[in-house]
Amino acid sequence: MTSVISKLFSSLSIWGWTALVLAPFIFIMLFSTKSTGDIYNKPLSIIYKPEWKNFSDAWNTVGESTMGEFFINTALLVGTALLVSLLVAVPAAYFTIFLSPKSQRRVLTVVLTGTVVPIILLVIPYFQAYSQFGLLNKPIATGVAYGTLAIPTTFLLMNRFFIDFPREILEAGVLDGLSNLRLFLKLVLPLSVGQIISVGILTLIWAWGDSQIAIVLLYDQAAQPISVGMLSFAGDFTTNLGATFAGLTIAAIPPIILYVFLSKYVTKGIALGGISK
Amino acid sequence: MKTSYKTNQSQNFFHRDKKSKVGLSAINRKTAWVTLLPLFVLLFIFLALPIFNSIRLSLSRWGGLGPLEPVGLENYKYLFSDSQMRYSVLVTIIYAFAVAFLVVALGAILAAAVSSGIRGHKALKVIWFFPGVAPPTAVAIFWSGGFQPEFGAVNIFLGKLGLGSEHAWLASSETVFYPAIFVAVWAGVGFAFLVLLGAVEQVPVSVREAAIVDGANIFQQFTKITLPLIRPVLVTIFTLQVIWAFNGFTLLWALTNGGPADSSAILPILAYKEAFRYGRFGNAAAMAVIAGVFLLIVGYLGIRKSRSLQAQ
Repeated sequence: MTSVISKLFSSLSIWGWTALVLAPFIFIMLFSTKSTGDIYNKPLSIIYKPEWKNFSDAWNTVGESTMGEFFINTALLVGTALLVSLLVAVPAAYFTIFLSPKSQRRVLTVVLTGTVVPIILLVIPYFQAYSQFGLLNKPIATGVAYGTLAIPTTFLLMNRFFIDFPREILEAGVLDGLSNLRLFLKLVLPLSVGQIISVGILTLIWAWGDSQIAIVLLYDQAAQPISVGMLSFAGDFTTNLGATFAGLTIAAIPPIILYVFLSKYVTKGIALGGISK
Repeated sequence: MKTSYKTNQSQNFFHRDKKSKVGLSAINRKTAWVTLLPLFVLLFIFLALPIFNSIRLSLSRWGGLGPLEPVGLENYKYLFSDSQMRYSVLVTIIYAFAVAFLVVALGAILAAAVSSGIRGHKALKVIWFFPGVAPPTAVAIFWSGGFQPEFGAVNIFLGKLGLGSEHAWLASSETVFYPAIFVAVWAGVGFAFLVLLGAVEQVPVSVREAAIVDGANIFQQFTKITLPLIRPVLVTIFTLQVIWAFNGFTLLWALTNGGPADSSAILPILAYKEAFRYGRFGNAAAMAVIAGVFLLIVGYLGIRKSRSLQAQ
């Protein structure tokens, strides 16, 4: 009897949570293709005349700047962040495994400290420094800050992966006459693509969505990424409702699509990361 | 090795065979320091230096331009006597712990439900992380619409249940934290679930089977066997969630702007407004330092607790 109840409870929580998770995404996509009138008058109806103009409205004309501009700024920022974090952290994470255990521990301690520094402590000095060097309102320069803040996590997750890397493969490579650098580039990197993707996606999700740093370093609307620029949509639920939802769709869809295609790596990466800490 | 740090067996892999015919170590050790150099330089510029500057700024007056004017501990004295600051500290702590507690509790329940063997659980793993993948600003804008009176989805739903559809959730300082906590939990559970499921799946099947033989149902299995075994991970993820919610500027800023009348201004929002709305950078830096010290203590206690549980 109790087993029936607990089974019922577990499937209820599973289906209830799934509905709560999916509902907003379904609403956003449904509303993004409805005219504002239809959203008010028949919000739940699935038979309606699609209003594709919402997307071009959002892309071209919402607010002073456009979703199109925000999108390009986000792409520059996130691209730079990924480049910086992966280029710097991945090679370092690999070659660190050859250090003496003592040095490895020291390196790990320093990097681990980097994961707990709260962003709130960094934002104002960033503003000071960026304004001093004339780097405000430059998405690429802001991307370097995001990339650096992603380095500690990238390093720790990659290092954990490389520590468990099968040693026989490395030895075989050396016997084949590969130099250490070529060994890393030709053999280790290709076999680490899955882990690199998983860590990279985590950085992408964060840099794509965060506004705490971008709102300070990219305050000019023409330089803003989606996460900040979209704030001008907030509260604007009366005028062009359809275009607002189309904007939300444009903002949310790229990371979600990427995630769906690469989810295999991401879920594994998170499970590993959680345990390793 | 007599160190408090738990070394992985394989970490010493290459050193045990230093003399083996394959000379992997010597040259690579140099390469390691060469690759670590840019990493340390960047961490120094973007982490160490700014922390130092924050502390210096917190002891000065600065309006955004020109040189700093040293004022000693004046900013801190002011903040400790400021009622908005005291309110914000309290509210930030309550908000962070409430979100963390609910996220971990829900994540654990869902991990237990899924691990008890449900069909299609691979798809659930993917879907449940959607709220964590979508940009927090977009999520917050959607939900701020959902919590509007009359036409907001949440109020329509409550209206159908006979609970009234006219709550202006976000417009009153008394109710603004309900939607704030709800949205943060909605967005955060996916991550906690994935980590906890990873931990639950590490619990040997034989242990759970023994419990089933003893007549334990799913619920008992979970509370008596699984939960105690994953306690270190629970502590770690709870600590992380506290830190993230405490720092959770993006979501709350898009949802409430800190309002109404600063009633939902958690410390990062208050500091942002203090600096970039009112140009009082010294005060804002002092707030950041106070928040930073608090978070370092939380992080330190969390890691220590998790380590000691692991050692048991």
